[in-house]
Amino acid sequence: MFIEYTFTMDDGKVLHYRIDYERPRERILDARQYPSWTRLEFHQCPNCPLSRSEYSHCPVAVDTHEIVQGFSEIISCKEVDILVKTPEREYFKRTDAQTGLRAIIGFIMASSACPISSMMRGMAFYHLPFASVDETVYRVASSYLLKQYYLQKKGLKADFEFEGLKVYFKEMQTVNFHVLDRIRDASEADANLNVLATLFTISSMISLTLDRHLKEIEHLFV
Amino acid sequence: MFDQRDQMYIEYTFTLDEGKVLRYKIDFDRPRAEILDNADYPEWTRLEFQKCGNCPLKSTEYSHCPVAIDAKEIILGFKEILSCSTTDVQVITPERDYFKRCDAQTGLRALIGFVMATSACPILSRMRGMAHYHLPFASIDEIVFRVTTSYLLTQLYLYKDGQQPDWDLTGLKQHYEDMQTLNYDFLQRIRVATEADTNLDVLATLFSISSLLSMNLEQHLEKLKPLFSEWNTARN
Repeated sequence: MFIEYTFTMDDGKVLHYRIDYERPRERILDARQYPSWTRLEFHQCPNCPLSRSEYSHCPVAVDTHEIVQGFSEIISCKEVDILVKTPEREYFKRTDAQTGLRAIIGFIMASSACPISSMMRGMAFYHLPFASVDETVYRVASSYLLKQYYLQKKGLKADFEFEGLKVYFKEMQTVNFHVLDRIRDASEADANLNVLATLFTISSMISLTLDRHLKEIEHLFV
Repeated sequence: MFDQRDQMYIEYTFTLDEGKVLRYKIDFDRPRAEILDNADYPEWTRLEFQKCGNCPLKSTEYSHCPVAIDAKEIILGFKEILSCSTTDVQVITPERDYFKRCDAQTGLRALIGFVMATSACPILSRMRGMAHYHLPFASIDEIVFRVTTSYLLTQLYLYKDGQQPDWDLTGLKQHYEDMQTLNYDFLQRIRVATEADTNLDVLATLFSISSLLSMNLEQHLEKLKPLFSEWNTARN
């Protein structure tokens, strides 16, 4: 499984990224091959469960370091054409640069080896580019329930109150915040990148208002 | 963002290799009177014409089968599309565009699936929530994932409402049995109708290949399990 993102800017410039769903990698990497901001201890998330003696680099940073270089250029455009190819179909949207970057970063983080963001790995397998808030609520809540179904089938305790999901979103907010710190440093204080602060708003928004959002789509399911 | 649901629609455009273009725009909501004028619709769309054995609609309250009416209204051009081996299919929704070059059956099946789930049929419309998040050209894996998670979401709402939820998917399996009956009976309706109108044979073709209905849910769910096993295990 893989996903291809192609950003076509109005001046004709094209940026193309291909991301494999599986990206096996050694735990200790050669420091000369990756920028210093990708090292695990550089702005390491306070809730990161990885130990520095076992892992040399942050999996999300390593996964994103190549695409981050193109971020400034994409963000300086107001709107871009974005084509997404998966083995099943193609998706297209002309939209603002942030929406496109949010989609690709979301997929990379969820399919990375980060022990926190990869909890969304199952959902990422069914990646939906440019998901709206109500699409995200539907996907997150229902994927979480599927996980609970499997737990219950195994005789383990299932969480139908979404307690675990709410805790999870808090953890994700911490991760988002610190990943953003890394990316800011990586891009040498490019002022355009301040826009990135909104990259992760969907997950932080949902964490606060999940119950209300679930109410809003209830009419579709009962 | 949520108030857009009233205007939700889907547009399917088939571009055949010879250059001919066929376009279908389907609204998510298609309000229609329960009693329709017989003169406006063919005989085979009447509710009591080969009515499904498990149809909960009363012939005194509904004059026509909602699925038959919907199918009749979109069938125009299907024959032409099915005569091509492959077509370009573009799907436009308010959120994004989808594209696939695929065999004609795959494209039409996606369109018909959306139409059925958004129809007023009390059995098929149980999938209405899922249809709101329609995914064109869904693979079997995608269908299993979407059907199961949507069903679980319905159970969550029942649970929150203090009602008895069905976390074991017993009702979902029952739903598939209902769908099988419906599919078989609806096919009879089309077959009988085709004797008078051969243009309908494309519907018979589409309904008889509905892979969705013959799947073994449990077996497929086992396959998806590894994808969802990581979530929670580290923290809860």
